[in-house]
Amino acid sequence: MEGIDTQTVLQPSTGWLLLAVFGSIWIGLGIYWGRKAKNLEGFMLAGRNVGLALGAATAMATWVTSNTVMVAPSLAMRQGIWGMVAYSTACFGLLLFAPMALRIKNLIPKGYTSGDFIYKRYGRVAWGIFMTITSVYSLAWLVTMGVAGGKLIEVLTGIPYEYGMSVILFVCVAYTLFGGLFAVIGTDFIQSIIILIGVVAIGGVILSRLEMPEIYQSIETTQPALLDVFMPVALLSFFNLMFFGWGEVFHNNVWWSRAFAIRKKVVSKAFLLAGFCWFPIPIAAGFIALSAAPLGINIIDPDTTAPLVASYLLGGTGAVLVFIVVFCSLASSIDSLLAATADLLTEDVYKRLIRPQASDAELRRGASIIIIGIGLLTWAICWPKWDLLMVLYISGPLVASTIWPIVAGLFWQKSNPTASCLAMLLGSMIGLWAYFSIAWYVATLVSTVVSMLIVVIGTLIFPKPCDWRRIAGADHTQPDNG
Amino acid sequence: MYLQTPTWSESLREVAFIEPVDGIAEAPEGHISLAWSLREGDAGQLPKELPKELPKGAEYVLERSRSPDFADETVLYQGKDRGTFVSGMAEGNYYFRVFIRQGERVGPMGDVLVVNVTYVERQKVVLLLAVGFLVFIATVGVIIFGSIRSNQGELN
Repeated sequence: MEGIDTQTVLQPSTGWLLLAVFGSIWIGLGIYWGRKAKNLEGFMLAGRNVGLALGAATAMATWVTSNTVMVAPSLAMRQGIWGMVAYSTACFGLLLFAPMALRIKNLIPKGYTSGDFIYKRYGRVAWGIFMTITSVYSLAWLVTMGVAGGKLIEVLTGIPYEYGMSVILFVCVAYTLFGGLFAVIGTDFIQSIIILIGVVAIGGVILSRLEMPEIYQSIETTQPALLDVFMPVALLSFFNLMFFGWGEVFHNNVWWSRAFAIRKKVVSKAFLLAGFCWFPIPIAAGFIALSAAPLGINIIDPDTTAPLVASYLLGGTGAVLVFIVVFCSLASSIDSLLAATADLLTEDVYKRLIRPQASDAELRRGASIIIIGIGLLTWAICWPKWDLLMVLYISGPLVASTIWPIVAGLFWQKSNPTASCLAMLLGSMIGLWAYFSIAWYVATLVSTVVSMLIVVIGTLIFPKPCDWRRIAGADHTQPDNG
Repeated sequence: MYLQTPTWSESLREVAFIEPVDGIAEAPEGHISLAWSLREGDAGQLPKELPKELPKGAEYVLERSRSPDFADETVLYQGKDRGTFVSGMAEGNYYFRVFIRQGERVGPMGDVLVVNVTYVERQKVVLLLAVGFLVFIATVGVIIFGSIRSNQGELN
């Protein structure tokens, strides 16, 4: 088999030009849309008046992360057919969040953050554990995207990793800073259209250029386990990845802030639509990775499979298209995460713990400083070129431990707060133990099971009724004491 | 097959695996990252100033076999990269070796790397899948029934 070496398809000058053009567009749009954010609610929640099209687009674009287009192919390279199917199960996170979003709107119509709900539903201790989990996860997610951006730019253009990663983070921080959630949702809409058109175009052209019987025969000969319907690791990662996706969506303020921002009448439809639109993307991205070895493309780092295969099959034009699609998916997720995490820290930490009497202007200034701070921290952590899967999966047990406390907190009136604290704490700890002692592909499942059992048993033995109206009330500083 | 009568040449040096380094490795998930490099020269046999790059027209060749004598070898990679990612291996032992090829000339064979692939036992997989399925059903059930009750105004 003649190998194809890993040489860059685009010139560094082309890479810089693309970065400059798209970076300027996003920052320009951020400044333009930022004028709409007249007050704090406008900056943080886009006036709570987002419709179906923008709502579905922002949810889908945010969920199409660098991980979707870079890690899904990496999983397909490692685990074959089941790997890409397993990744696509993350769409269940959005589909199941659709009814949850409506419940959130009904329960706390004037809410701001997921942390606020946990505080009022379960109290301060649970809130502290939850904030630790969500902060670690958000940072890990941001880091994977920064690393993916740097790797992508380096693979396609030869621009050193550190430069590409720095530029992407700078652009996203800049336009989120100027525009808040208005800019995030507006750019997400444009980015989601570019992503959908780009993925369909890339997938269509690649499919037309591949000889499927030969590809299949080659994989069957040299990589037989990739086609094995009973590949143990891939099967185990199926529920592991599904619960990871649930944990990510159910707990993170990125999704709660969208639930608060989208109009109540369309909020469920928006998340359902986003889930269905998202579902085929990791399968399409994963599929092209399976053709890497049959085509003789030498993959050294599986994280870079997708851009290498696409640029090999489509040449310079394809590489530009891949660059644009991944840049859009990175930007649409980094901006959302920056904005939502800044909201969470502003409302839940600065306002709740430091300055409860802070004015809207102070809070907006605080949010801006937090956005810059998170951007700088992410940049510093991204500097070593981390393995994407390692960074991502280590946060799986943490987020999975929040699934049951949140679901039970929303739908069970007698869900026990102490049990929820223990569920998050022990679920995370035992899940992390499983990650290091057994394997990554069981860690999230272990965490989910532990957390579920504690919540269910704790609530059955020690039910503690809550007053739903108190949670819905305007006082955001007092927990519900039952 | 290149390896029946390897031709020694001072310009075609031996290649050694630098990842993994011990000559034997486990791949419990069926994949492994390999990296190789030109072996440091023996002063008695090779010139003191060794070229750092491959000679012109030379390439690395990575071969894999299911038997130690490489009777059924497959060329997995041929080119100038110094590493690759090998995936999709079924259970069992795999033998890897890497060498330099320049036209018809073949460099000396490096040490053979043995990779053992052993997956998780099937009973454990079935058990964990069953547990996952139960958690799936329970969570979806709570959300769907909870939503129905919420929409009917029972959770206010």
